[in-house]
Amino acid sequence: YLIIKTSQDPQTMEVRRLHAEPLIILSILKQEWPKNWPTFISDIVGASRTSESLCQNNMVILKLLSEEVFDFSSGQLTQVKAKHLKDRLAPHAHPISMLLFLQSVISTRTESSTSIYSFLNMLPLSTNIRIAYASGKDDEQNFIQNLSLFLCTLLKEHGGTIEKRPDLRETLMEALHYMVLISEVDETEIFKICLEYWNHLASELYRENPMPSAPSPLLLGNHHTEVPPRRQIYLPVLSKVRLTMVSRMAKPEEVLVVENEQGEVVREFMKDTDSINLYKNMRETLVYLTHLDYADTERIMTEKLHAQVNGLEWSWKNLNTLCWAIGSISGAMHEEDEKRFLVTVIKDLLGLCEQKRGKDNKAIIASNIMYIVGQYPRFLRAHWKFLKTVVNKLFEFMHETHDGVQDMACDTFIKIAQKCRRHFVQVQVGEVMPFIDEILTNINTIICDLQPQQVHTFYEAVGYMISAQTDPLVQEQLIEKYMLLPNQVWENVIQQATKNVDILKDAETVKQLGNILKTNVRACRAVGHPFVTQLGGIYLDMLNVYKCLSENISAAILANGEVVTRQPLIRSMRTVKKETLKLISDWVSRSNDSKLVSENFVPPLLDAVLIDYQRNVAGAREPEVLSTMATIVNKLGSHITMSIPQIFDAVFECTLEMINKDFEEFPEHRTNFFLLLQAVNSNCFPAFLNIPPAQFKLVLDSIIWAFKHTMRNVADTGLSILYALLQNVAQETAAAQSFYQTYFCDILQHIFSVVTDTSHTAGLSMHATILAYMFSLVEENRVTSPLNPTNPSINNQAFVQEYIANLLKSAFPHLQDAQVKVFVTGLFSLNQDIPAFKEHLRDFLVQIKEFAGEDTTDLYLEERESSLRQAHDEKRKIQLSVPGILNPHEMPEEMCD
Amino acid sequence: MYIISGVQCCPLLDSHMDQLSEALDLGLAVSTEANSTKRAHPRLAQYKARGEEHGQAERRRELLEQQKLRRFDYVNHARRLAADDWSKTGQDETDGKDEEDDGQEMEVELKRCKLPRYYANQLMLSEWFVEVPDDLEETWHLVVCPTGKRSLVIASKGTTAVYTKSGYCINRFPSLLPGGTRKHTTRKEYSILDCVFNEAKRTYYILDVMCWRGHPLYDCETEFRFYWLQTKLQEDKAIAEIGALNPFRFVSLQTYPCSPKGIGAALSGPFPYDVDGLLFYHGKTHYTPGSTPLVGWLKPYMVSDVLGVSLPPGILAARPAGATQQLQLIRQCKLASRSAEQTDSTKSSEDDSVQGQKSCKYELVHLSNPPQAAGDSVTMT
Repeated sequence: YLIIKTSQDPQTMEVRRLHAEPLIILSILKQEWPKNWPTFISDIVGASRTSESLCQNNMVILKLLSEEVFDFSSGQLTQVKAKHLKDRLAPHAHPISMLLFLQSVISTRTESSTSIYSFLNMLPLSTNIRIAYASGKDDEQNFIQNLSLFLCTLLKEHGGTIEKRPDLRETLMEALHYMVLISEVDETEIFKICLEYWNHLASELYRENPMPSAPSPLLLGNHHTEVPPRRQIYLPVLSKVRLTMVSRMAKPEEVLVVENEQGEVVREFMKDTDSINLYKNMRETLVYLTHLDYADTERIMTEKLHAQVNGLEWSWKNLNTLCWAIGSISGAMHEEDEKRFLVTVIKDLLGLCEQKRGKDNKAIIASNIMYIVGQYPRFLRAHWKFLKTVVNKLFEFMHETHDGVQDMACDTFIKIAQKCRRHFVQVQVGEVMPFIDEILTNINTIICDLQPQQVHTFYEAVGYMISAQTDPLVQEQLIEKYMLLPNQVWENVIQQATKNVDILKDAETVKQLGNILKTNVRACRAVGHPFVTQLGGIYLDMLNVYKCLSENISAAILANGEVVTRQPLIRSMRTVKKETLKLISDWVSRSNDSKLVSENFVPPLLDAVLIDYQRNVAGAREPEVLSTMATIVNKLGSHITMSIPQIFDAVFECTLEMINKDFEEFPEHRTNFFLLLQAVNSNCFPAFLNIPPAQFKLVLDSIIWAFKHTMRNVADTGLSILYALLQNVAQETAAAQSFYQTYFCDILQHIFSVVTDTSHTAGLSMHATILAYMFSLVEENRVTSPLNPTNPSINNQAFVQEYIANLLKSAFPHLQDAQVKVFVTGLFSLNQDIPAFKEHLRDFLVQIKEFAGEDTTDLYLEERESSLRQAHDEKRKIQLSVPGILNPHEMPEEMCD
Repeated sequence: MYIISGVQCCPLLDSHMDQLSEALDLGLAVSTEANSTKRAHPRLAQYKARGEEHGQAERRRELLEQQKLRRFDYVNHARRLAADDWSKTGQDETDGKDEEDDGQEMEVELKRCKLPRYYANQLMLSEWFVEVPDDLEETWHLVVCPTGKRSLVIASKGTTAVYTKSGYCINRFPSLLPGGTRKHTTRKEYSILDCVFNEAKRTYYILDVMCWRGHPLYDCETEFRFYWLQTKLQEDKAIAEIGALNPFRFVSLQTYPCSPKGIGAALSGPFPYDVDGLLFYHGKTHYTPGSTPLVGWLKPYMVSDVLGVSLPPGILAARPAGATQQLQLIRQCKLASRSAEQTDSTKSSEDDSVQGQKSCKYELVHLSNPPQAAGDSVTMT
């Protein structure tokens, strides 16, 4: 056969190396096999025995094939074909045939040595694959990668079957051994492949028998409880895997130093990087492995730590890695074991810190100690005195000038404050007052050497503590003391501004205001609704400052043009405005008294903000005005319906004017504008019924405009507004009919225009939902007024069918009448079954596109995303039930204490 | 079922935890200056550090000796700070004795991505005043230090930059300090000051002067630097006022002699600012960046205990709430734990409240001051 011949020819092999060729073969296979080539599996196994180069190649083909057919087929094959292939592959791809293949792989290494590419010969089990990889050429490295892929897939899919065959036990052990060796290769991509299998194995073994295999030794002096038989097979391998996980644990958090829009250098915690995902997977695996044998994990970590202390493995990188690993298994051990373990770990690290000379060394060790401590809030909560010592040490570090130490101290402090907040507001045993009182008394001195940003972090941390005080009176006093310093500065400025408003044009004053507001924002974020006492105190002054600064900005723009907005002074004025809005919307979203908010806080806000927004030049309008309004509408719902006309009058047309020229300019305004529209539609729909028809038309036009965007978030918002709007309209019997008469066909037309546009395939499911809804309205005769303007006597359903058929025929003249007819009929008959409706829509799109010769892969994008999301949700559900699987800092607050 | 194990292991772990807290408190440090003011006063510290407070007098003597021999090129140093020109320097010349890295492998990567912060560790910092010098009255000078942020202020090239202790620039603005506005354009016009910034009062309180109008004062003795500063500030009073070209006040602080009378006067106030603590400057020390025993630090309420000076009852000498019996408490705790160590190894301390009393103290008192509202009747011990 062609493929085997091609694969045998070394020249061809060399020219087109592994990656391209298997892909080609794969696409041939997808078309030809199994119908035209039923013996493919046995052929390929047989051929593998003859030469190594062929064998490698075949391995990749098999791996790809099984992946394609079993896992990812939804992309390129039609549903029918995918099912067919699966059915046919199943008997062939029986694990035993796969295993025969594996055996052939392993046996070839002794049988022949004809080819210079015989890596397998160079890879007996005694090889140090890590070094082999490091010193290998591309071919050899590729081979190792492919081997890992193959073994991972094989063991993951068929390990269970192989296990049950005692005659294959040795082969299985060899395969596992290979995996362990490959896991040591210094190449992240290869490691990720191995990790996928180890994670699978460890979680499966754990879930099969989730009872702790080794309870606390303090409970049972002798804990030789039965190890489940399956686990027995893997015990020796798992210990090696544990060592690998501990030795190469990934970095748990990444901080990026960036410049923000105000030109300040700020630190950002990265959420979703490759490295963090690797950390998450490794952590999860290590937690399962720890559940399987916690004593072994402890032994490995302790030995590794000793190797740091006695210098054998001492290096910054190794120490960091080890401490990340130690921090990663928080919660996985029994509390008593964890306690004992941590005490020794911390002691050893403290010894190390005293032993090493030089601030760099000491700073690294100190950071690692603090990292570990911060990972174990349960331990801290159980030992107040130690917790207090840690926090005092952090305060000490806040004065330390060595690079990075202050940041580390603030980051650890906020972590601890969040997780142990209650302990700081209670009087602890042996104390005369809650620790929060001591902190507040000395806050100025504690923060005196910090940079502004670090001060903000500090304030947020203390805010979490204050939020834990349940007595409202005590809490109010705490807040007062807490905000004393920023309020002093604030009052000074306000006093001066009352005398001479020009002070608000002074650069230093404006900077100060921005800084104080930032402190308030962070404090509010942590304290939540009770921050009302503080906010109430500065609220009106703050809004006056807002108005005043806004006038200053407008005047400057009027005098010097829009370039002036780039000047530092104008930029800091805008910072003050933005922070004001942020403070208000942050608080409103955390508030719990809608009446209080809507009566006392909203009216002055609207006065200060709306007219100013409307009058300003486009470049000086803050997009945060729109998002603040959206937040308020979402939070207050019907309490704010009365004010909607006022809000719309001020922001609607002028914003639409900014964004209706193209799909790109003012992206923030754009996003926020539609979010506001969405908020109003879902919370204050009656407001829409009361606005003038012309303005309502604008609303609808802008919704249509929204879902035509290629910015996906905007398009999605547009579609969901439309769907909600249609449903809302249907509730209003009076208004509904005239709405349908005016807009029904328009909407249909616009939806079809995005359905058939390839850049909108991501929204297919929502398109389907909306269309199905609209057709069912017609079919159920809920659209009673005639839709046909020229001939009202025609039945609406017939008219709509006709209308769509004409629409499609004029857009796609290549379609045959029959095709169109089948499609249109289906739109009606399937409108109660959204998935089927969507399939119907999609099949139609394939028809259009096959003609146009386009790739149809994207049509399934959404399914993939949603199945990924579903898998993720399910995983999280399982995770919540396994102690230690969730990082203590990912856990919802109620689950602590 | 875990309750049983809990009861069994608690005493054991509690003593472990005590030891661990002590080890953390004493053992974990990045900088290792003696008598660091980041921590509690050695005499008030809960855990006794090994021999830390000793030798302050001896080190003072040595430093003054070295000062005569050592000639650091402060003229150039000041010029570089002012011009932000580091082209011709090695990196760490200011960090001095503490940076003896013992050849451990430093990851090159980490080193490389670290920006050199030339403005870090440029301020002369105090130690806790532990050993009272014999020549206190003749040679030392007292400054009452306001609360606020310690700042390195550099006026040069027409702008005034403010740096934190760790060398981060946190603000830039014009000022009337020589070199601080665009009006002063010559490159020789620059000033370097050691200040405490009070945000609410928009004031920089000048503690010390390292360079004035291009003239470096690092190598001058305290007495001369203080004199120079006062004189120069007299020459341009606008520096002490807020104005369009001077958005912050720059104000000097009064110096007191360290006689009982002087100390009494210093503590009786009144002060136009919140008092943080007392700085004792050795009259002959040069301005040496970093922590030095030639500048001492005390909280006002410690004065009578440490200096043995009897003070007229005044607000500043009062102890902060909660610290009233601090010394007694600490003494008691020490005694209690000592006796506990001796007798207690067999009889495990089952009673939490006994444990509690031992650790009972006001932890952050080294940072504290009494409330400044008058009328608080605080009993003196």
